[in-house]
Amino acid sequence: MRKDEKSYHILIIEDNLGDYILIEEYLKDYIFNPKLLRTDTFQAAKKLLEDPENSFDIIFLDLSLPDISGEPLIIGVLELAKGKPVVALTGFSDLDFSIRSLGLGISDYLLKDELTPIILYKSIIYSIKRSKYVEQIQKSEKRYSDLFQLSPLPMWVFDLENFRFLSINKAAIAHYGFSEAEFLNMRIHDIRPDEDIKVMEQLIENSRNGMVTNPKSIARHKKKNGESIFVEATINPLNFNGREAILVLVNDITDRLKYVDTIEKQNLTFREIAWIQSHVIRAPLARLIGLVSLMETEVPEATEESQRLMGHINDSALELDEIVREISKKLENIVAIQTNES
Amino acid sequence: MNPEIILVDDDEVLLVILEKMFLKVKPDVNLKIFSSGRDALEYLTTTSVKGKKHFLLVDIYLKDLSGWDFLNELTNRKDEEFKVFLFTSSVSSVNHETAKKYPPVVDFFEKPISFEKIHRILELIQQE
Repeated sequence: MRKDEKSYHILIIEDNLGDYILIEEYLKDYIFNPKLLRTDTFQAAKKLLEDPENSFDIIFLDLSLPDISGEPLIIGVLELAKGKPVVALTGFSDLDFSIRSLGLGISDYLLKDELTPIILYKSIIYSIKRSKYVEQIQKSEKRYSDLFQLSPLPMWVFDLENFRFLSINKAAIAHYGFSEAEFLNMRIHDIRPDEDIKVMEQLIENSRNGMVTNPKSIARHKKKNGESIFVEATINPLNFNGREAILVLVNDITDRLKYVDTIEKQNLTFREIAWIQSHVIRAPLARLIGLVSLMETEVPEATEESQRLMGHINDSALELDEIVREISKKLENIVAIQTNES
Repeated sequence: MNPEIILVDDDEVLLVILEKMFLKVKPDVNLKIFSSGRDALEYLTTTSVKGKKHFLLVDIYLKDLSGWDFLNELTNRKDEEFKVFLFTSSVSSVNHETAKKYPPVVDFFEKPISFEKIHRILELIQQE
C-alpha cells in the first residue's frame, strides 16, 4: 500500500501513554513520515503552541487531562490553535459532550475504543481540508466586512420590512453622531426631517415595486445634534441574514451644494460687472472721446501747447477705452462659458 | 436732397456732440433730436406720410424703451420705410448679432462717435 508522503506536523495532547502509542502506530499505517509531538498536560501544550517555532497541521486532544479538562480545555486549546484543526479524542463516557464540543469549534471527535488506522487517517485529511475552506470563507467574509466597515463613506443596512437599522459602519456612526447601539434601536425615519417621511416612504414603495431604476437619490438627513444635511444616497437591495434589506451608501453633499450656490451668486455678480463694464463705464468714456475730437475743431486758434495737451487727453481716453474693451472681452468669455455650462 | 435725420439717445451730452459734429460736416443738415424713444415714436406717428423714408440714429440702451423695442415698433409700421443706424456704448458682440436680425438696420456703430463715422453715415444716407 502506498503511504501518504506529505510530512504532517501533528501535536497529540494525551496523558495516557498507551493511547498515544496506539495512535502513533495507526498513523504510521497511512502516513510515511508523520512528525509527532506529544504532551500530557494543557500547560505543556500551551508552551508548544505559543512557541512561534512550532507549526502544526492538526492537533489531537484528549478531553480529560490532569490539569484541566472539559469545556475550558477545548476553549483554551482552540484559542491557541489559531484556526488549525483540533480533533477530540474521547471515550464512550464522554460521547455526548464530544458531540456538543463540535459546536465549540472542534473539527471532529474520535472514539478511542473504536479507532482504526483508516478512520484516523480520514479524520486528518478531512479536518485539514475543511479548516482550509473555513479559513478561506472567513477571510472572504472579513474582506467584505472590511469593505463595509472601513468605507470612508457612511453605509448601513436596513430591514425593508420594519425599516430598522440592521448594520451600521463606523463612518455612519462618526458622521451622524448616533452610537451603534442607538442606531440599532432606530428606524430610518429617525434620521429624516418629519416633512420628508412621506416622500421617503413613497420612494421605498416604488423601489420595492421595481419602479425605481436610478439607485441614486438626493435626500435630506438629520444628525443626532439636529443638524440637517443633504446627501446623495445610493441604494442596493440585498439579503441580510435571511432578511430582505437595503444597503445604503451615503455621500454628504451639503458643502458641495453650498459651494455651487456661492458660485452661482458670484456668477450673477460677474454678469452684472460684465454689463457695467461693457456699457455703463464706456458711456461717459465715449462721450469724453467725442468731446475731445469736437474741441480740436471748435478751437482752431488754440496754442500749440493747448493742442498738445488736448492730444494727451485724447490719447489717454483712447488708452482707457482700449483697457475697458480688453476687460469686457475677457468678462464676455467667462460669461459665455458659464452660460454654456448652466 | 436733404432728408431729415432723427437722433434718439438718452445721453444729453452725446446728443450735443452728435449735433455739433453733424453741423461741422454738413452745415445744412436737417436734424430732429429726441432724448426719449417714446417721444421719437410719437413724432413719427404724428408726421406719418405713406411711403416716406426715414433715417434714424438710435442708441440701443434707452431708458424708457430699449433700442430693440424701438426697432420692433418700426418693423410693425409697414406703410413707411425706415433706415436705422444703431449706436451703442457697449462692446458686447451679442449686440452685433442681434442687430443683423432687424431689416431696418443699415449699420451698427460702437461709440465713441467720430467724424469718420458721421461721414460714413451721411454717405450711406446719400446712397439710399
